Amino acid sequence: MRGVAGGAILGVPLLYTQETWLHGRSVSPVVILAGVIVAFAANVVLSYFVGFRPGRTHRPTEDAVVGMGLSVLLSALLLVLLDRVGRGTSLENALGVTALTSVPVSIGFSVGVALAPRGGGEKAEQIQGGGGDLLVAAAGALVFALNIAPTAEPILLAAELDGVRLGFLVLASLVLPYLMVFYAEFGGRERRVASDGATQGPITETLLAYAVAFVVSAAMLAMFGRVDTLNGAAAARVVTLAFPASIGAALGRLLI
Amino acid sequence: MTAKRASGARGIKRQRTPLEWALLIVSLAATLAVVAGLVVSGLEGPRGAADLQVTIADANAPASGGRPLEVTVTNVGGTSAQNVIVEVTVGDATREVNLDLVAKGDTESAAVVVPADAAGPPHAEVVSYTNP
Repeated sequence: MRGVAGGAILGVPLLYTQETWLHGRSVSPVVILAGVIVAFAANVVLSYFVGFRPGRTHRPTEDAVVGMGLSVLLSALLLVLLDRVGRGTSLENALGVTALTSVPVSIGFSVGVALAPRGGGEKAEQIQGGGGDLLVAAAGALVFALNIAPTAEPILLAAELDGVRLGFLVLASLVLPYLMVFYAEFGGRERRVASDGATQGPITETLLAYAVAFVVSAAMLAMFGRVDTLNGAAAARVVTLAFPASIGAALGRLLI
Repeated sequence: MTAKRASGARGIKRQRTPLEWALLIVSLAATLAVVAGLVVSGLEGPRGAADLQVTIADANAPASGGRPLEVTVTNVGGTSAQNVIVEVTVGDATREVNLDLVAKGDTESAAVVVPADAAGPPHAEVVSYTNP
């Protein structure tokens, strides 16, 4: 899960980039293959020095294969979820977009341990309790949402995604951060002690963090004039942006 | 907040677990499938310029104020086409449909509505496109 978390952190912003969808379909497969080979070589080196399994760097090639393979599967899943690969997509183009997207995801896999220090961030222990967690979740969501909100991608994706896909996107926005924070085994979680309060419990925390990411996304879209009324289209845009924002919120909680 | 699950111990040179074997096999299969697919596509895929084939038919979906038509563009060439403009003619009525991208090998569809009194078979042709 640490690798998946690292891959999602680095890969989701690229997934929300039109040029990736365009070039994955128009660039020659040979060129994309060359990029995959170079990325694999980089992953072997990164797995040797960093990796996604703390303390285990003696099988860098094997870890690079696992990272690359799972990146391909994760990328394909997210591309289908966002309707960037579908029935009208030829196999060649589906492979091209998936392979291109999997490159940064695989790098994220290979540096999974380094993305969030095991001991947490400096002075992390000073932020305690549910309020502190939600504050850092908001900060992480803000970083990711601010990068994507001014672009055309949330509008474009929201216009093309149907209700079922938006529902699955909400589900992914809850499940992926939940797995990242509570199963990925990185970040300074060892120092985070249990405390009483309304935000006690992994599920409650995950739901609250998503709510925070949702509000941050809505605020960012409103700030850039992308949402000016309450209707279905606006909700779809917020849901679309809330997915990367929820990844950012998870990263924020992992760092602290 | 909650004390999350403690980090598991990781031996430096321990044996692979069944889960790790499974992940390795699945990952190897996925990686090889992508590499093989890209190699085959690179060697046997279509080459040359974009070749756009257009079909048009009455759409089943209802539309207010006119006759709905569905334009389908398939690119059987070796290059993707961007900003594809399709001109639809039904009798005296003419409409334009714009498709952002029709990638090589892909099929894209768009709906267009012509006046209800436009009689005759619909005709569609690509009037312009650009290369990405």
